[in-house]
Formats: sequence, structure tokens, C-alpha cells
Amino acid sequence: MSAPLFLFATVAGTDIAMPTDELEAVVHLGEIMPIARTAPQVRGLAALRSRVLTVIDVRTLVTGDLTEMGRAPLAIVAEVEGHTYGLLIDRVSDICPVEGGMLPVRGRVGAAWESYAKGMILFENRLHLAVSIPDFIRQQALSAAA
Amino acid sequence: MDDLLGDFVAETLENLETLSGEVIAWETDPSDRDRLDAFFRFFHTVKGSCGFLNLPRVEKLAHRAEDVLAAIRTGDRTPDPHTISAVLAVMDRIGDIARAYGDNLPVPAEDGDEALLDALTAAPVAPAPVEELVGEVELDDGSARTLPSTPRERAPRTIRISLSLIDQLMNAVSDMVLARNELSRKLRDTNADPDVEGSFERLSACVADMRDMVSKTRMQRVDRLFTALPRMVRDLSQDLGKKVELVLEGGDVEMDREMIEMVLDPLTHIVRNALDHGLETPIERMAAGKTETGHVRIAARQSGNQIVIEVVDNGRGIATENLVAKALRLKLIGENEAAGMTHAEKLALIFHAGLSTAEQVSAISGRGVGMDVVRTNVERIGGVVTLDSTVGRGTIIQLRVPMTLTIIPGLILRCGTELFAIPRGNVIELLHENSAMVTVENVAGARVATIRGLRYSVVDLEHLLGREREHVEGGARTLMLVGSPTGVPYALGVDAVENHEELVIRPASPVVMAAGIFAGMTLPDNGRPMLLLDPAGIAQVADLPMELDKSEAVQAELQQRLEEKQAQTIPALQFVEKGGQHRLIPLDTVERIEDLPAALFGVTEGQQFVRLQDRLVRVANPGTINDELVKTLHLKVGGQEICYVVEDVADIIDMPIRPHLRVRTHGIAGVVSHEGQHLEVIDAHALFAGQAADNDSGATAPGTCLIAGLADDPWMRTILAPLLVQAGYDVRDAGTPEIEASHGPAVLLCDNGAGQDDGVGEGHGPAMPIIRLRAQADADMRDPHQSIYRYDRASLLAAVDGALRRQAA
Repeated sequence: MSAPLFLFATVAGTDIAMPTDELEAVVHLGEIMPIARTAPQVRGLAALRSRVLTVIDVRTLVTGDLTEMGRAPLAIVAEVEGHTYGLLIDRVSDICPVEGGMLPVRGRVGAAWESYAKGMILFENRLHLAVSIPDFIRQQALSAAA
Repeated sequence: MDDLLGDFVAETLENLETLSGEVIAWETDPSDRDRLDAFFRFFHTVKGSCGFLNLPRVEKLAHRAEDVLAAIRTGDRTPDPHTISAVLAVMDRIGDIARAYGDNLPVPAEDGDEALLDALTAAPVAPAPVEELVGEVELDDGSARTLPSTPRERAPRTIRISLSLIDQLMNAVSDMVLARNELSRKLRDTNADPDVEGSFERLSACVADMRDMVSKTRMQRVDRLFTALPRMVRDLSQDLGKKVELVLEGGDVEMDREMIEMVLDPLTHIVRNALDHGLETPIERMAAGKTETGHVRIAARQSGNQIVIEVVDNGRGIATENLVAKALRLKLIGENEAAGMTHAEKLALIFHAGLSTAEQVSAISGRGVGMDVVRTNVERIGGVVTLDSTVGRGTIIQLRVPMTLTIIPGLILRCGTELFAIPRGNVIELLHENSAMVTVENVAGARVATIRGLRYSVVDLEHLLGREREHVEGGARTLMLVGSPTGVPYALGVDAVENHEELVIRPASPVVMAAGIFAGMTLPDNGRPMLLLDPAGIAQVADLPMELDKSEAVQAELQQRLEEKQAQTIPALQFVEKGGQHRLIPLDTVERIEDLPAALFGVTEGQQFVRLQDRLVRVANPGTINDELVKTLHLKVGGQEICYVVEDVADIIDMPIRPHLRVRTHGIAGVVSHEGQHLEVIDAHALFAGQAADNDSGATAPGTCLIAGLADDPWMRTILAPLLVQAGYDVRDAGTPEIEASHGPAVLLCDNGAGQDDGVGEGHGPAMPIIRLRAQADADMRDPHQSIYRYDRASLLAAVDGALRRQAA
């Protein structure tokens, strides 16, 4: 079997990596329509051709701050439990196969990322935090329900 | 998963689903060779495939069942209930195993198999007591009305397609629509030449057709909803020791696939209730002077863009006093309140959480999940549950659900810079805040709108959304009177209502739904996502007081306003008579507008005709033909055709169904004032009756005319209903649930051929007079109903008048 593919991105200064089979695309979003009465990380709705994405700010989830959105914010498109989401991130660096895949977590992950840490990925001689996209959706669904 | 195995699983499960409906029918009539053969083939096929796929366990099961069925085929065994149960058990086991393979789940343990097989081969033991318990289930799938020469309709040719492919197709078509809209905008901006626009129009039409067709792929026959029921009823009636005859009707009605899935649970629950709590045991039934076998009828039909599913049983009915007592005990209502409740209100208590009439909670209907959950689930998909019951006679439960979840008519409203949609069905009325009919007051912080003497809570949408309310100079805000079928209506304040549109609604993600005020989202053609407001959710989030204003005036007013809104106008064609005056005719009656050569017109025995292809069609307004080409309206209703010669066609307008001035003379039904003009409305009924209406101006008795099939029969809708309305009667569809609530005299009109199946005479009580109308002019001597020729206006109106007067007396 060939080595698993990972997407490498940056959120709030942290390098993260996620398996590419969890996501569909990385796009620049157009206009985002805000939604009232929702959790702070729900930034709004955006149209991607005929699909409507619920835009989730990953930075808000981990730090509580809002990502500053330029003209065309960058988002990862992913489908979780039948709904399509756009996850706002700061930067995407690469998509690469990683020989050996995920490594176990070492050290103590900070409180912000603790609930999202799946493992670590060694890529270009640097460690990236391995995360899973559905976690960002489910965790906040829980917090919204609370 | 292996492709071959996947195919085997899908095919087996599909066959099982089809067969589960058949088995009960076969049991009722064991001599039915076709059905027996069908089962035999099923096991034979499974056996064959399993041999090929090397699944020895399933092969063994199928093989033994096949042996038993073969013995029945040769007459060596009789299909007694014991054997049937054993065969069913084997079928279930095969289904379980197949499903486990399909979902990659652990396969059920093998130890049970032997017992099943033993039961299969065992000689029928002590059949007598078993027989007593067997539920009798009869199937009537409503196909009896089709051609008798082909007892089983050949199923249309189909192929299997994965759902995700259809969803992708749907998305692709939506993308295409958006691209078309973009192109359309660009064409408008650049003033493209007409040739290009022509091509674009053609493309547009194709895209629209395609969108329609793709939406249809999502439709499924209600049969799917019904397939599991016979089996469930059989098993349940056996467990309960009750005898049940199940009748299923309207399986060919179509609704959205998702909708079917959403309705399945509530329907199953209602049927279980009917069997468990509704129907009595054979002994109780005999004691009550009823037939030993109870009836449960489940009928689906389409009514407009709604699907109505009715579950009717003739069991013991619901004891309202028990409900009231329990509600009192649980302090849901007070003593005074209980004393003033109507029968319908008492029945409605059953929808309260925690109220179940049964003395004990049984294993069948279970505990916890009650009618309140049924109602919540049905309302969540935009439906309504109504219930009626007579102690000792039985219960009728009606589910009304939209045909599709995905496309609804909506109003687009603006709140600040944001746009929202709201289902049009929930909006009772739109008013400007500065209208003379409205006063809005602040009472200790509570905003209250008084509209025509009735008070409503006001919710400002901005407030709810946590937005600043913009102050627009001179711009009056709009109040939408919003109501759900069960909640208390309230006024929703918004900046403006922009327009209305058919909206394709898709589910919003859980984080968005968590806000509690949204029902879904939509992507209009401009490509900007929009949220659909949930009226019930808004009332909840805004924490509005929920008690109903009980006074009857309030209820009557609301009812009337709803009705006015529904039946206010019909489209009408405005045309110019030869003499120059402008007149109106209901648009539904106009089949087409045609220029006919004068040579086609002729006169026979004083009657003027026009020749259309090989038919002669009567000219309604004979006169001299001067022009070479004669402009005519081709009128057609229910197979009857008439030509109406006109000078020209002017416009299509919305005409109030009740004319502003009622006159009844020389083929005119009334006068409508429209944009300063007074337009005479052609009496379409008189036209088709072939005679000018009599000058009858006698006062009519007040009352309600219920028409069976009003929604479906064009003649009823476009000819009969306007005639009765113009004569001063209230007209309603006999199928609507509000009838029970209506007071005063009423009469039911129906087609002479209509019977119990069409809902005629059902639930209206024996006191309801029925007037039957026939399409043939001559009376049939064998006709038992003394029907009236439907164009015999004098007799028809006299019969209605007489029936209502007799009732009022």
C-alpha cells in the first residue's frame, strides 16, 4: 500500500496535518453570510457553486479569536454527516504522502489543541499536529448543544 | 465488499421487501398458485446464488424452505398458519444474514437456524388453538380498479442507481441553473442579438425541464411506505390475539423519498396504536355487537401539494373522559377549563406529552413514545396530524404532509441587509405597521399588535437576531401574521417583504439548527445562501405566551381569514365581445384561443356549430360570421367542448371568486370591478348547460356545500364550485378535516359513481344529505340514487336548497 496522503496547513501559528480522504477541496470562499444566534465559531454560510457551506472558524475553536478574513478567505471543504462545511484556516502548505503515517503524541499538547490532537506527523523534518476534520464539527456541535 | 456478494444482498433484500406484502395475501388464499410460485422462486434463486457464492448456511435455509413449498405445490402439505409462520421465520433469518453481509456487520449466530428448520419440517402440531390466534389480513392495494383482464400489472422497467449518484445529478443540475442565470445576466448587460437570445431561451427551457425531471427521480410510490405494514399487522394481531382486516389504498401516490422515510415512523406508530389500543379482541367485539374481525384502513391520496394519509379503524374509539381525568390528574388543565371543553378539544389532549389512554402500557405500543412524539415528528416536516374518534365506533387519524421536503413556496423578507425566507403556508396575512387596521402598543415592555380587534404578540425579527433595528425614514415596517397549524398566531415585524419564490430547501447543518429559529437553508438563483425561518421555533425562542384566546369570535375570525386567503381569487381571461364590451371567463375553462376560418362554421337546426378536425363543436354565442378568420375561445371542461366567438383577447387577471355584484341573467354570473372597469363574468355553468340561466333571484338557504373530489375533478372545481359560490353557499372540499368543525346545515355533492372508496358518506354521519350528479343527460332506470344531470341547473340548485332547508328546519 502506498503511503497515506496528508494536507498540511497552519492555524493560529500551529502547523497541523489531516488525512486527505477526510476533505474534498481547498477553496477561496466568496461572500459569507453571517448567521445570528449561533456559536461564535460559526462564521456564516457561503455558496460554493450550487452547494451551501457552513463556515467554521478553526481559530475560534482553539483560541477563541476570530480569523481575520481578507477578500477571499481560504477554507477546507469537507462533508461531515451529510452536511458540507468550510473550515477557515490561515494557510495551506502542501499535500504529500507521508511514509510511516501518524506517530503517537509526545509531550503535553496545550489546552487549546488538546481535544483535537490525534497524533503527530513528521514532514520536511518538522513535526505537525495530526488532527481529524470531523472533530472540529462534532466538538462544536456538542458545545452548541450545551 | 465483493461485487457479486453486493449484488446478491441488494437483490435478496429487494425481493424480500416485495414478498413480505405477498405472504399475507397468500396466507389468506392458500390456493393462489401465482403467489406460491413467487415464494418458491425466491427460495430457489437464493439457493442457487448461495451455491455459487459459497454461502452454505443460507443455502441450507433456502433449500429446506424450498422443499416445504415444493411439497405444498404438489399438494403433499397444506399451507397451514404454522407452516407459513415457519417459512416467514426462515425468510427473516435470510434477510438478517443478507443485511449483515451488506453492512459488514457480524452475521447472526448460527444456533437459531436448527430450531427454525425444525419448525419448518415439523408436522403441524395442534393447529386448533393456533388457528384461533391467527390474524386475518386481507390486502386491497387499490389496483382492483385497473383492467380486469390483467390482474397483475407488469412493473415498469427499472434499473438500480445509487442514491449518491442521484444526489450528484441534482447538484450538477443546480450548478447548471446557476450558470444559466449568470449567463442570462451577462446577456442582458451586453444587449446580445436576438439570435443568441433565442438559442439561450431554448437552452433555458431544456435546463428547466431537466431540473423537473431530476426532481422526479426523488419521487417514490407510497407503496414503499406500505410494504412493511401487512407483515407487521399480521404479526401484531397474532401476538394480541385479535383478528384484523387491513386495507391499503392509494399505494400509487408518489412522494419524495426523504419524506417517505420521515413518515414511516409516525405511521407505524399510529398503526400499532390502532391495533393495540383501538381494536378490541374478537370476544369484546362480539359482545359489542360488532363483527369479529376488526378493520384498519390506510389510505393515501394527493391533495394539492400535500399527501394525506388516513388511518381508520373501527375499534373502541378514544374515551375522552379518561383523557380528561388523566389531564386533570397531571394538572395539565384545570377543572373549569375541563368543563368548557368541546369534544375535539378533549380529543386533542391525546397529543399532550405523558397522556396515553391505555390503562396499562403494553409491549406493543410501548411507553414513552406517544402521540405527542408522532405530532412533533410530523410537524417537524411541515405536516399536520388530526384525529377524530367516536366511542364504540372507531378512530380516524389523518396525516397531512407536504409532498416534498425540498421545494416549498416561500416569501422572501428583508431584515436590515439580510434576507430570509419563510414558508408561505405559515403566513396568514401581511400588513403595514401604519395601516389603519393595525395599532402597535408597548405594555410594560411587551409589544402587542391589535389587528381588527384581535391582539397578537409582536416579535421583531431584528431583536431576535440580535441586530440593531434600522430606522428608515418614512419606511413603514411590515407585520406578518404568522401561525403554525397548532400554535398561537403572532405578528412578526420585518423591514419589508421582498417577493415570493419557489424555494429549493435543503437541511441546514446541526450547528445552524441549534439556533432554534431556522428550518433549513436555500440557495436562490442569485447565488447568495439564505436561511428559512421556522415560525414555531421563533415563537419558542421569543418565549411567546402560548395560551389560545379561546373566544369563538377569535377562532371564527382566523378561520375566515385563512379561507379568504385560500379561495380569494381565480385567474380569469378578459376578452372583448363582438359587441365591444369586456367580459371575464374563468381561465381554467379555456383550453385554447384559436383563429378559425369562417368556412368551418355552419348552422344546423338553428344551432351554430364549428367543425374542428372531425368533430362538431357547439358555438355558445351564435351570430353572423363576417370575417375570414374568426377568433374563438375553445372551452373545455371534463370532456365537454364549446366554442365562444370573441372579437379579441385582452388580458389575464385575478378575479375574485365571489363577484362584487351578483346578477343572474342571460349567461352572466356577476360583475367584477377591476382597475376602474366593470367586467361581466360569464356564467360558465350556464354556457355548458346550453341554456341561459333562469332569472331566479329567490333567496337561498344558508349552508355549506361539501364537494367530493373538489381538488381533483376539474368540472367540480371550475364549474360546480363557482355556481354554488355565486348562489351564495359556502363551498368546501369534502376531504378537508375542518368539516367536522363546521356548524349549520351542510350537503354533500358528488359524482354519481362515487362511493365509500372516494370518501363519500364517510365521517359525515348518516344525517348528511348526498346529492349525486351524473354526466349523462338521460336518467338510467337502474340508477338507485336518483341522481341529477349535472347541467340541470334548476334541479341541482333546488335539490341543494331543499336539502339545506330540511336540515335547518
